[in-house]
Amino acid sequence: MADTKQQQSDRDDLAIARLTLNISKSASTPVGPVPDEAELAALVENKLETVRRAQVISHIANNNGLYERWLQLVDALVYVGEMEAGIADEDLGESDKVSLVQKLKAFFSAKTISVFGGGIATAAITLLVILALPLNDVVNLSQGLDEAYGGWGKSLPQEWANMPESSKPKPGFSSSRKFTFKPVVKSDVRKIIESGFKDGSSTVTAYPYKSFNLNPESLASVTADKVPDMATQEFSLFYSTGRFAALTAMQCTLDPHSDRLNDLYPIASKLVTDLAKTAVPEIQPLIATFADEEQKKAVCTLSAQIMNFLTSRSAPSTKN
Amino acid sequence: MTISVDWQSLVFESGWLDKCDRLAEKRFGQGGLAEEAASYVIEQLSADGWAKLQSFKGQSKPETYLYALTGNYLEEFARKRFGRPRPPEWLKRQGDLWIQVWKLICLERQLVQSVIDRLTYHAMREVHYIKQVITTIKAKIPTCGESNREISIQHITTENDADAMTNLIADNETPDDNITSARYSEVLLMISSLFLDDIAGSAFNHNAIKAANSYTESKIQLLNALRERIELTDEERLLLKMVYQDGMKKSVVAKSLGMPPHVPGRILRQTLDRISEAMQEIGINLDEIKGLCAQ
Repeated sequence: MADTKQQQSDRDDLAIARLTLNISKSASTPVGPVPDEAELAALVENKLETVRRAQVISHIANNNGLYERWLQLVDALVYVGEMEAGIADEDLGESDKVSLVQKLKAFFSAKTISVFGGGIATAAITLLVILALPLNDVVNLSQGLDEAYGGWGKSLPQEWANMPESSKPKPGFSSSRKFTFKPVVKSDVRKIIESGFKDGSSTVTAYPYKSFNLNPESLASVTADKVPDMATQEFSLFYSTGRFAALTAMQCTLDPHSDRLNDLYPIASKLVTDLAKTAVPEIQPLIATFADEEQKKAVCTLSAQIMNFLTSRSAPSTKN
Repeated sequence: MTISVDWQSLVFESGWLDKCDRLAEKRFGQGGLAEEAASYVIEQLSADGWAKLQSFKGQSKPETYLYALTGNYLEEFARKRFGRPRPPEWLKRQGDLWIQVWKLICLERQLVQSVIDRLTYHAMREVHYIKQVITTIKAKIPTCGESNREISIQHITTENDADAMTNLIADNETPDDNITSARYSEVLLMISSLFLDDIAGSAFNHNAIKAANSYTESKIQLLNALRERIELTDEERLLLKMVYQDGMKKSVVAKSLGMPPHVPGRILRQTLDRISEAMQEIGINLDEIKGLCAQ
């Protein structure tokens, strides 16, 4: 069978890459000590300082023995389910041209602000409905969340540590109690949302699971190939819902009036719009109260609803 | 500063043993060998009161550090069981995945389908890519899998861990100052074979080799010029290796390097476009290379 244009292009890329790797000279000599297993583990968890990270990458790129050990580690983590691998590469390609925040700024400055005079944020959800199609093109959930996690999300652990204990939510169990819960029968949708939550929370150092009555070991970790009947886009939507919750649960607890939440409002709106389209019964209560709220409050309300869903102990209805 | 971790509880009480068993099965297939390998890993980790883990400094989660060491000990077990045969030079140049496949199928005689399943688990690689690697290896090494190189357990070498680690690090390959015509021909033939549906039938026959030699002879100056022109950053080189040499999905690569999901694709696109442009300017035509095996 003849290749499609995309397949031909992929093969050309593969050929050029293989030619390059086979004939190119090494451009740099790695500096710093050769990393050991502890540093390889730290790299895979994104815990190295910028300078050391660059040094370690240089060593791995130029030392075949080390590269083999690095690949072994990545292989192992994917295999035992400690690293997410189910997001299709083709879903990643279209979103990398311009920062989402820039896109949103452009979008809202061109349309929202000129229509509503800049201050009437509560009307934005109406606008989203009217302009659903163009906004769908603008908002990429995954990219937007990546930017938030990679930006202000990095300072959340420190801010959480600085927060007075009295202001933190009290866990629903004592600290001496064994940190386990009875198993809950979970639908695929819930498992995917949990996986997204787990993914998001794992990128935040020392995520305060207990404050949110969650046990990370009880959270599901599924990949797209485990739910073959579900479309990739739908999987990504539920996954992003979980990631959104992990980020906003902390921020809304720390400061529900932060302007950071305004940045997340378009993402929340798109989540609500897209989740409504799925018509999954157990999801609908999560999004029912969204439209009438002011932006920051709407984000935190949605976040709280998702967190309630994730901590509910009743068996949800399953979607088949 | 070292961190105090209760390694015994972590290994025996947290479900980690199941994961160790799974990794051993991934490496050796299901059966007694995998069980032996998993036992070997536990023995090594727990030796001398978990001494090998005491240098952990808390830079990552303890579990991640355990996985890193586990991979090393599984490979060490394989070396002790199957020896340390050196792969052919051409195969070494194709990268780690190729060596891994060669070990699993040619030396350890594991079932092809089982190897494919394990290397593509969680959709971390494309099935067709692994099949292509296997087919190419079998085409170039017709004796692949014919003799079992397993050595008796009584003849396990006494290579200690420090030596093993030193050897691994010493495997660093310094790129040659000059590439011979024969090496260029071999590389071009391998690349050309990527475009064939029936690798075994025609990729490496006499005519194809003759065509590759002839092409190299006529273009050697241009190939050398391209070699001088290509410059890669460390990040570009690592991404190219992980994605195009070892067939890893870009989403996995992004996660492993702490990058936003779209970044590896963007860097690779820019790199490949730059090299493609250099090829055009120098006068190396990819279509000519593609056709070498069809001669």
